[in-house]
Amino acid sequence: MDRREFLKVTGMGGAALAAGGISIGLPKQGYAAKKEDIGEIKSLKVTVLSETSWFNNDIFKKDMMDGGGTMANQYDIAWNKENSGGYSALLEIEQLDGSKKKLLMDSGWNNSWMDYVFKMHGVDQMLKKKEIDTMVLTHWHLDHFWGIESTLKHNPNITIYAPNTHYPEDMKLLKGGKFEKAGCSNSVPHKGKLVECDSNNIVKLMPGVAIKNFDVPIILRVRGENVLYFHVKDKGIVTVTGCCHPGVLSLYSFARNNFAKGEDVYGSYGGLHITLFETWDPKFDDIIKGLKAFKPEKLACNHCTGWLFAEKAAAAGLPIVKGTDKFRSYKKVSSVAKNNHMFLTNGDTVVF
Amino acid sequence: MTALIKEGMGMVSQPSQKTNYLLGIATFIGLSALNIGAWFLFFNPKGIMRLYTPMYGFSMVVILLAMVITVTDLFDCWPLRLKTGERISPVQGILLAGITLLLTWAVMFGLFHNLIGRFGITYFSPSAIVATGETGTEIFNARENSSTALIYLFAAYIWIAVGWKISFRGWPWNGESLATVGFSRLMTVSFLSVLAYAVLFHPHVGYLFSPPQKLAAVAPWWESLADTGSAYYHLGWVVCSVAILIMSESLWEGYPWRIVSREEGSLSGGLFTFFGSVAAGFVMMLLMKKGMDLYWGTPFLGGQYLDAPYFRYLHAAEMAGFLILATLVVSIYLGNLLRGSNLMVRVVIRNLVVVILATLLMWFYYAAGPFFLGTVPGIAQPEDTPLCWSFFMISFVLMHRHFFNAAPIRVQS
Repeated sequence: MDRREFLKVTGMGGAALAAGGISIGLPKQGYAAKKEDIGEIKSLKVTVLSETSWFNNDIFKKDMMDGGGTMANQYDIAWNKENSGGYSALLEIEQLDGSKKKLLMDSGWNNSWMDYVFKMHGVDQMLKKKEIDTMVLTHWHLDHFWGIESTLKHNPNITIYAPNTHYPEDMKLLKGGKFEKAGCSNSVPHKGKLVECDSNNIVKLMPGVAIKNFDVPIILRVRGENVLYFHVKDKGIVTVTGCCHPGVLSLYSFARNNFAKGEDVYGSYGGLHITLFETWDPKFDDIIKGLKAFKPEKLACNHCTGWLFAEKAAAAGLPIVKGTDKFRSYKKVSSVAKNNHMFLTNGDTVVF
Repeated sequence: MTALIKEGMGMVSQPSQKTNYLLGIATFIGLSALNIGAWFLFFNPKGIMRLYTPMYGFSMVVILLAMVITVTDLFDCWPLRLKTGERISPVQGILLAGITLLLTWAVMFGLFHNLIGRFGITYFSPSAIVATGETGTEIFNARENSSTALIYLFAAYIWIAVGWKISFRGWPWNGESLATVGFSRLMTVSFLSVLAYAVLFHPHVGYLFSPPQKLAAVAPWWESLADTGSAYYHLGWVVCSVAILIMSESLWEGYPWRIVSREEGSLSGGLFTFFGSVAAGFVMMLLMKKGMDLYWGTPFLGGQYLDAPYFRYLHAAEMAGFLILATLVVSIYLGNLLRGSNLMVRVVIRNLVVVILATLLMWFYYAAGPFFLGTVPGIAQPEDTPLCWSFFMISFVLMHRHFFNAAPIRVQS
């Protein structure tokens, strides 16, 4: 047997292992053959109700590490309740005919904080009056979902679009339940429609608005994230995310491959899940370079994007939307709040 | 890792006695159960100590494997064995296991966290990183970053150690005592692995911080080649090269290096084997990546999860890790499967069995891991790499083989 034969055998083995190994995962769904036309909207206004999911990174990380690390079940961790806040945004959509529709995205974590935030922005009344009759739950993470009581107490019949990748604990909380150790509870069972979004389909919510579930593994044993896609007339595609765990460039790539005019990316709102703990990695430089290739015009990021990424992205020439001083009117501010208004934070708005 | 069952030229691995496959399989399953128990104690996120955070636990595992290889491949179990081939008694085996664990602890916490990290290179010590007060340098990040540096350094060490042993064999210390050979190999491997680490991995570690440590580390120079600044690119081919070396040593009975190498080793044979395995490892990584690209689509700069180029390289390393484990299982517990017949037939059948077994092990990790190991379901979870568990299993298999003669299947020392 000579070397060439051995390399051939090696190659065969490697290729077979690659083929065998990757068969464990599911192949990417091929939408590219037929591009979806999701329609268009006139404009989208996003109000940052709360992007401070917790107020102190160090306390959050200590709780997580003491509870078993990033792969532990979020319901098995004894979280410091005083440190919890929540993530939620109000989306106001103007249709081409001038009609307007309000959506709630996520319901935060700490009920007392979310009650305060909803009251501050009149969301409680919007829910009561059914001006908001739909909530999009981006994913089942504690800081996006555990404050569900704050929404349901005003409108238990609200329609919820959520990823279908939930666990029994999530359903227990949604239907009215309590988790002593984790410190979360909901005393108002959800009575409305729960639309479970799967990763094989695109849900067209209304003209110009679609939800796409990306089935990705996420820390704290969560899986799958719903992403909102908007097509703003004469501007292009806008993604709105809770945490953007699938990666912002994967979202853009999906739009480009699967939506009519999806190659025209206009911008994004939401968490981009990059430097949430103020740590850096060369792969984050990859994201900056990749983003520049798409040439977005408005990047309104916050939350788990991390101010460090926003700062570096802005320095690299990306159009990061700056925040204002409105966050100071809230009763609590994050320990990493910046005076340089690096990104949108609590109380800020952005229009696409 | 390389001292398997020796016959013929002393470079090959063939079964020396009739193999009881059922006993071999039962022994491996028993060892796996022990491993899963230890994983639960130390690493399982639902377990006792929960050290798989992931980098902190992963660094412990990589250093453990490096120390197992140091004790077995570099020192040939000296000082508890004074001559190659001497049988290790159970008591000696327990002592060797104890020495290995002690070395792991001493190297990680003594040498790196408290000596080199505190008095030399900051990023090797979590407390030294925290003491800088720079952005994001609290204990969790600091520990993960410090662990990342250790993982890369000891990945380079494992590669060089295995590469040196298989490539150069006894050269240039043939005839010397085990102690002399051991310390000589240790110095050589340490020197070369520091060089490899500096060029292949240190630039990534230098850019783990904000601001990047530009005066200490160049920017990742491979970015245009790999579409990522992550050193997972190098980890991919390095682990694949180790897999090539291990497979060639046992499954392929020393070929193709045997064409040039001599039993006692030589400079030319060593260079041919080492650089040949690097080239073959690189080809293996590219083939695996090509398979992933065909299946998951082409990754792109800045993509995350399955779309990330760095994940494709890491996953190549992860698959190579399962290949190494499967190769060791076939060599040690299944007696390398075949004797007699045509060499090509033996090689093809062994390769086939190893690929199937590696696939089964990978299936176990992803499908049953959430139950047995406490991992999160799904592929490409950034906080999880199967390399941690496969390296942990490899450490167990090697300790069982070398320290306890793979009892009860009784292979030769």
